[in-house]
Amino acid sequence: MLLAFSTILASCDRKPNGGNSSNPEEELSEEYYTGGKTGTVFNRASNAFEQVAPAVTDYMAFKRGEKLFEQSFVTGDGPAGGLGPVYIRTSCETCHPGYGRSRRVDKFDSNEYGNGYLVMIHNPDGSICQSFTTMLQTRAVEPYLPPVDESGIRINWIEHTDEYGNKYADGETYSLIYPEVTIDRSAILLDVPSDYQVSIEGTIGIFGTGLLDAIPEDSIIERHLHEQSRGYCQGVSTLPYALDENGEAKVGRYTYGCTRSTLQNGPGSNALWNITNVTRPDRNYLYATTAWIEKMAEMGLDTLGFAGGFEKTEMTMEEFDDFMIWHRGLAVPAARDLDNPIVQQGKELFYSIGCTACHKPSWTTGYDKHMPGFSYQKIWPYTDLLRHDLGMKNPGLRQKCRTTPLWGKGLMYQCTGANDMLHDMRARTFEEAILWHGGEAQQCKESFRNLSKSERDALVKFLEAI
Amino acid sequence: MKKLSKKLILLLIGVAFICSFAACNGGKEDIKTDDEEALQKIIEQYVNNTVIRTYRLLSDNAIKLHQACEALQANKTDANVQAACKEWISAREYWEKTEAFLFGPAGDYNLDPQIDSWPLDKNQLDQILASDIIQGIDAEYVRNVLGFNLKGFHAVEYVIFRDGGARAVSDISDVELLYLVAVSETLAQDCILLEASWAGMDGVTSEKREILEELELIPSRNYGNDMMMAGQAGSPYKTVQQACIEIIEGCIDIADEVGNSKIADPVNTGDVLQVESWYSWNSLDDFTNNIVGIENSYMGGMEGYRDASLSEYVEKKNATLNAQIQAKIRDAITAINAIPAPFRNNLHNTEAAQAAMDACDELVKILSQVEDEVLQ
Repeated sequence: MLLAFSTILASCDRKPNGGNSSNPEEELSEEYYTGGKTGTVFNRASNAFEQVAPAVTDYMAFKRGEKLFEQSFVTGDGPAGGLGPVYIRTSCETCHPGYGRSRRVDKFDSNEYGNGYLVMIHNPDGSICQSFTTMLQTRAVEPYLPPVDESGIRINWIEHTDEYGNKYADGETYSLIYPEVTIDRSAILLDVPSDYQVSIEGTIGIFGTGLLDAIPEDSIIERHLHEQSRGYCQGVSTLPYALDENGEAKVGRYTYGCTRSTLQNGPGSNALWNITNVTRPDRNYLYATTAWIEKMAEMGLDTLGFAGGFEKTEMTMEEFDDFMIWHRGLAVPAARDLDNPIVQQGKELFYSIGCTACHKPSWTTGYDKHMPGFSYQKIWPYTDLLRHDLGMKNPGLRQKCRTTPLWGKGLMYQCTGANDMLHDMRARTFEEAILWHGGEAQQCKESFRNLSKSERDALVKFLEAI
Repeated sequence: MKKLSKKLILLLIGVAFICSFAACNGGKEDIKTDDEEALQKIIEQYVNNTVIRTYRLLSDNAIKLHQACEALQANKTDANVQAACKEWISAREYWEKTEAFLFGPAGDYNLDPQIDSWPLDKNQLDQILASDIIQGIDAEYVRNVLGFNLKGFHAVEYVIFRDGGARAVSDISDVELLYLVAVSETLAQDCILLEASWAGMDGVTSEKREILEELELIPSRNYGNDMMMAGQAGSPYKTVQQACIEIIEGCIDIADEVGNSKIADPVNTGDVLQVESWYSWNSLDDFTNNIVGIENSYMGGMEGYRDASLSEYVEKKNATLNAQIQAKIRDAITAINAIPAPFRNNLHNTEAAQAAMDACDELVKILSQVEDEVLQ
């Protein structure tokens, strides 16, 4: 009876209600430990994505690194100095509210917290137009001008009707929207081909990226071979493509395009430099194109300091090391409510209708030289770290996107004030995100469409719980 | 003890199951436990008399600060600079107290960075002051065009303070006053929006409502209601316990921030530029008010408006823990006040700083115990 009673209490999710303790008194199933025993915190409050993992040994370094992420950079020397001359945002957190994802917006505004789209100006074949950096810069420090005046960026949300007339099998209707993005030619300062196109991409949450880094490369290669050998959902790998910090080609595992392979040379490590244009010893050059520098010179502005693209160093490697301890050391919030019968029903459906074909539930980390505490942990990110084509209307630059890790998504609204999903944030709810799963995932979407209302709700409850 | 019959055991399990399920639904079945009712009252007191009351005082004082800046522009006297400084310090006091509840609209609506970004981008600010823009500057321009580092408390501070005191009026240029009036107006508007985000548009004065309506700054959520409806459909808090954990987490975050960043960074680097308020030298008061924000969150309401509180609740569950928490809050305030003022000139006094950092750490630890031992 005691056992029955304790199970009942556990079903009320006693420990995972919150708190930062990593050692619940009750023995919880391993799936609760989303980030493994050393990478999980039991916190479901608004700061759930901002917590230090139990594996972190130097908390003060973590705090110093956190400050670099949160602070808004400024021009000139001194604390938080080095911004510009041309840049994308003044701080990391601007695009990662509550350390999570950015929001779907109607109007691009790089001064607005959470308005975190990256913009890309590209040719019809997907290559970036050569006047521009891959991530478009819309800000510059006076007297310089940015390549694009951001007031000319237009984001229009278009209603979409799918092949089922936006109806579930049971007749319930839904609505879908997708973005069409343009930039007025008059807002573009640099040369651009007449058939230029514009794409947007939302940011990705930061928590747990250190644990993904600890997954052995061989495991990803093995997964890739497995998917290639099956007749469906054959995930694409970027091997050998993404360079690590030593210049060696590795399997990409970060960003929607899997363009980055290791955290040390990952999206955060890069963004700390290229979003703000704050240089440091391992990136001691300007993030700007020759076209932009020439344009500034043509306007009579001083570009001598940019000759050769090099700038004086504005951040030390010690600061960068702190930043990486913070980045790597962010914990994943524990799963919640997994013993709730509805959540369990949703879990069964998640597995039975085929979601796990790409949303691979768990991985086991290998030895992690950067954060030894993360070694040999079973983690639950629900991604295969490979790219798939969901056959979306107007996908923009990324037709094949990395399977999004699902951990923590149920807390996104509380932690960031929004829970928009997919690479361009077109999905406003979990249901919409699933309903955009065409292409390789068409079968899965159809199975979802044919579920009853209560089954669909249960599946969403599971997604909210993990 | 008599052996319980099998039937009775099953019945007890059934009752336990129903009770625990009701707790999961936050009392949706109208079976609220005494604990849940007590926590509900604590949440209401926290929302109405800690959060909203502090934001109301913040926005009232930010409006006064803006008025003082306008008065200074109209009549350039040293007394008017001093009056503006006094209002800045008052508004700042309430802002720092609100840092114990930075979750919700402060982040979701872009308000924390607008109000309190630091450091100020002095180079860009000087460029604006020297440009033609300044002649036409107004609150709308500040809101829509300028970045975080050119507005908020520290932009106002830059114009009216120097070396820890009011600036001599003769040193303040006319273009600086144009800037001051515009940024102080935006600051007041942002503070009003914060109040309205928690209190609802109906919960603020008609004067404040009109300001927001004119700016089309209408909060899309009522964060106060969301929290007070904990356990009910539509609230992000599935249970009243979760809402109370949010309260405690807000306190933990700021206690950690004061000790491990605000005090630690300048002391560990010895860099005076790491001390936040460069011109007013107000940092020790800022830190103290951060802890007072924790005290208000824990003791319920604020001084003069105490009522239902987490403290009372913890007292019933674990009186020793409650006494310890109250003592640790006082210890932190005492330790911060023991750092000689101004903080920026006493970074070498590492002993006093370390004592304050330790006191903040202790506070973090003891507050975590409330979550682990009382609210689960």
